[in-house]
Amino acid sequence: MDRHLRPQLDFVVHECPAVRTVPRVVVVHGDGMPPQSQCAAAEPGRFVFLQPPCERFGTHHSKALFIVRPAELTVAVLSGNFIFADVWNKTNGIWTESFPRAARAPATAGSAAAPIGAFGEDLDGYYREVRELGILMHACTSR
Amino acid sequence: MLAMGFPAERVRSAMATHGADLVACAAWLADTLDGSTDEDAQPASEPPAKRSKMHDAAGMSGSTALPGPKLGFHLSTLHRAWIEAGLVARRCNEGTLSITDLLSADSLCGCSELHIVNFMIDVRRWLPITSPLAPLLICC
Repeated sequence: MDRHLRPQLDFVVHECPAVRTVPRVVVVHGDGMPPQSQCAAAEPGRFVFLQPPCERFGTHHSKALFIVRPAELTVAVLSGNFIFADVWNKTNGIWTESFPRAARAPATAGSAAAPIGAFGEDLDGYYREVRELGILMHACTSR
Repeated sequence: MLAMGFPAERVRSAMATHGADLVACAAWLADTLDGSTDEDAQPASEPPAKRSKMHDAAGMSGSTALPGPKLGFHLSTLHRAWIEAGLVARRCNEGTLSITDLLSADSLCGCSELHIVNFMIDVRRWLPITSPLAPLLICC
C-alpha cells in the first residue's frame, strides 16, 4: 500500500498493460514529488511528469484521463484516485466523452471559429497550460 | 479490502455492520442507472458486452467507429473479490466501468498520448503541518 497517497503509476500499468504501448504518457500530479514508479524509471522517455504550480498541498484534487488520438480526444473524469483502494474497493463515478479534433483557428481576422462551448474552452485552456508547463520543465531540466 | 490482504473476518464484520446498506445502495443505483426494476434479477450468465457499441451520451462525438470505452456517466467496477466473497451481488458490476476498460488495448488503439491527471498529497507531510498534535494523539 502506498502510504504517500500519490498516484500508483505502477499499479495502473500493471492493471492496464496497454499503457506501455502509448508513445507518451504525461502524468500531471501534485505535492512536489512525482509518484515513485519502476516502469517510469525503466522507460524515462515514455513517461513525463508535470506538476502545475499551486499552493502547497494543492488546491485541486482532480482525477482525469485524456486519451489523445490524431482525430479524436477522449476525456474521462473520475471521482476516484488512481490507487488500488479507490479503483477496486470503492464505488466511484466516471464520466467519459469523446470529442472530434477541433478545427484550426481561422487565418483571417474577423472570421469566427466554430464554437467549442465552455467545456471545450476549459479543455483548450488545459492543453495550453500543460504545453507551457512541459516547455518550462523541459527548459529547466535540460540546463 | 479482501484483495488488499485484510483479514476476511474483519471484512465480514465490517460488512455485517454497514454492508447491507452499501450493497442495497449499490444495487439500487445499478437498477436505477440501467432502468431495471426487477430486484430478484439473477446475475448475468456472462459479463456485459462493455464495448459492443459506442455510447454517445451527449451527442458530441464526431466518431462512432473508433473502439473505446462506453461514454457517459457510469459507476466504477468493484474488484471481483467482493463478488467471489459473496459480499456484493454480481449485478452490481453490470454496466460499470473501470480503468481497465478506459485504458484497455482497445481504448488505447491509435493513441499517441495519454494524460493521467491525479492531484494527491502526502498526508505524512500534510498532517503535522495542519494538525501538529495529531501525530502525538495517534501515537497515544
